[in-house]
Amino acid sequence: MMGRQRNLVAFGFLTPNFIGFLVFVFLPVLAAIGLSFFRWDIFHAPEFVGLENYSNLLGGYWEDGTFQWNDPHFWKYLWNTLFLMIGIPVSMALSLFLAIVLNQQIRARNLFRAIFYLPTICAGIALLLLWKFMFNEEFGLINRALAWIGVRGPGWLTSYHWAKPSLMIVSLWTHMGGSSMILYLAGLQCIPPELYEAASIDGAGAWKKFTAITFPLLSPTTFFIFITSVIRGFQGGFESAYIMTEGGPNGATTTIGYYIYNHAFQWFNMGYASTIAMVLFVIILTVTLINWRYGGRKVEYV
Amino acid sequence: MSRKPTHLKQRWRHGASYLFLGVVGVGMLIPLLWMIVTSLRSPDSDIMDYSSLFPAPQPTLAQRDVRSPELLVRALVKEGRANPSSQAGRIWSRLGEKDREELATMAKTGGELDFFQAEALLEILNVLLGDPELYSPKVFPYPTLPADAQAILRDADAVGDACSRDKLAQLSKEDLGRLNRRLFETVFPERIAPAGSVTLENYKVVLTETNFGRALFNSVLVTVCVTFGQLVTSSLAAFAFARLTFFGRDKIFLAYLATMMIPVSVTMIPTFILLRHLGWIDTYAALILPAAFTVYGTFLLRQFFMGLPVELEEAAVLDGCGTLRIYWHVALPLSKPAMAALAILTIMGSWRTFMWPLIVAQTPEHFTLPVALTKFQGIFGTEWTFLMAGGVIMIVPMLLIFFFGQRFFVSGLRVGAVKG
Repeated sequence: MMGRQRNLVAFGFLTPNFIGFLVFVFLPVLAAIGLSFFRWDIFHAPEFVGLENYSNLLGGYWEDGTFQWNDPHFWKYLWNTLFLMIGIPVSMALSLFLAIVLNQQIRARNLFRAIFYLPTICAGIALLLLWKFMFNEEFGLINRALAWIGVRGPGWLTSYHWAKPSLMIVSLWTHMGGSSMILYLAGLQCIPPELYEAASIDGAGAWKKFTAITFPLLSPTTFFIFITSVIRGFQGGFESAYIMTEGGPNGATTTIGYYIYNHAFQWFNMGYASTIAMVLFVIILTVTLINWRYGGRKVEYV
Repeated sequence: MSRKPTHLKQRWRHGASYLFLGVVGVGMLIPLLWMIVTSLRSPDSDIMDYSSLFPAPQPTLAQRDVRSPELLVRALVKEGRANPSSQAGRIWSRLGEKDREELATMAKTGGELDFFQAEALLEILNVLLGDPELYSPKVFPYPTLPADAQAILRDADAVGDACSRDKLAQLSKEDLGRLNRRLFETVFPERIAPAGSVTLENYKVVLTETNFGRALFNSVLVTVCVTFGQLVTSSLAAFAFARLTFFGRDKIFLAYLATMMIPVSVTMIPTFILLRHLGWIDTYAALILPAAFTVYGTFLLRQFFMGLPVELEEAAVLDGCGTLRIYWHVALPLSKPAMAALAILTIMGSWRTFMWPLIVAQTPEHFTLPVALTKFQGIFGTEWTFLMAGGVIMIVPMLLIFFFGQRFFVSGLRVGAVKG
């Protein structure tokens, strides 16, 4: 085939995907960058405001010797988003532990794996509603169980202090037996058993084997799970906030994702919402670049 | 070193492992089981009362019998006359002569809840509330009448009957149904199932009396179209990236991959605006098209196509196959596992996707399951039995898909991951 003809054939194969990519990814990204310089409520004509959205979002001023953010909500919600990500290492540790326990000669291993994976399969609005019910102050299973042992449980989702931990519990329950555990299991099965045998001969105990063999050899998997979880974490929190708490109480569970949604589709501040989205984009870009810089390097020692 | 202690230690460790797995497993299962149990409970049962969770089912009232007060009146007139010793008979005997006449006429004529029907219902309520013997918690499992009914009666004393009659007539369909159901069960305690018995009524109500059935259809339609679209577009592109040589192939692919990190929140606003300009908001196109292209799927299939043996392709070229035929007759049949994996991932993702349908589906006609379920919160408030039934309906198809496609599932997950 001639080079040109070859290009043409390949182009034919790529076209359907490219059109979708162009219309629903590439152009929207450009449009979003443009939109972030406008004020627009979609009902009237857009108004060019230059960098005003950015300064409103990220800027601040001094008042009576204290620094005030122009948009304190944004920083609070960014903090919320970060706070909810504390659950990531906990969840990963539990996934790894489950995987290690499952990787022994366990009977009914597939059954256990399927049970742990159930919440991941069911994940979505239905489970969030279920947990809203579970956490219900009056009728919820959790408070009923607590009442049984004589403890009066809080209003999990309606208390400022308990709302965030409650959401973390939900996410932990949903994800700890999910894809991370499966990935860890796959990683564990790739570790040659001779290494453990050699370690046993050298007199290494279980903990030593874990720190010297298992964990280092799994570090690429760990890194992958961590980075993808962080990227997802920055964008996450919309569904649970929308379904379970409406971002409350008092903004305790509003994340950046939910804030963008509210600005765009509740208050119709398309420009400002795009600005927040661009900032989120930059954050995620940074995480991804860190991943590219360090993720390529294998951290294992064999 | 003696063997016995090691052996014992190992057994201990094994036991501890099983214990740990069991505890975690039970912890995973309990909320899901509770969801199913709740969805099977009678909607009017006392949600706190688990004492009689699984008694033998008895004939229950159909929900539609209860939606219209006229049926209640008809049954009361018939039963009250025929059987004075029954609960209905005792109520009948306590009604005034005029009310009885009115109820009897009403039972004959039927029709919508009008002025007179409202008055008759009020009378029944009055009789019930005025006589603790008829309305005792022992006879009737509910401690009180619904709050709205009590409020109406309180007003009846204060403002007069006419005003509360209007109020009764203005009750929403749901409230009236609920009130009517309580009345029905008070008048005919022998005809209801005991609180807490297992019933499929929640499912029936959710599927027939709300737009959930429509949402189920929408979800299936959208999921099928999105999955089909993704399979077609990404397998074509993946084939080009893996098997064809063309100008700047690898650079284009890398740029392509890089777009995976763009957050949804960036693209969704302009996409919404674009669809709004096209007049596509609240259409199936808006639900399907933006989701029918996937970079991830292209990546996943490309990895798989790269691993296919070149010899088959060469043989096909020798036989005079064109590129399209190689794709169709060689590459696709060989990559069934990868296509299945992508299909399953797409189905599960599309089934649960929430934010986008929430934004573009604005009338119940185009709601998908997650959106419809969310709107339930507005309709049913805290009627958890209905909400949980809706949740179970949403989850079951995913469980089926998972159990039938399990082996493809894990392989699909692993392609995207680092080789561990």
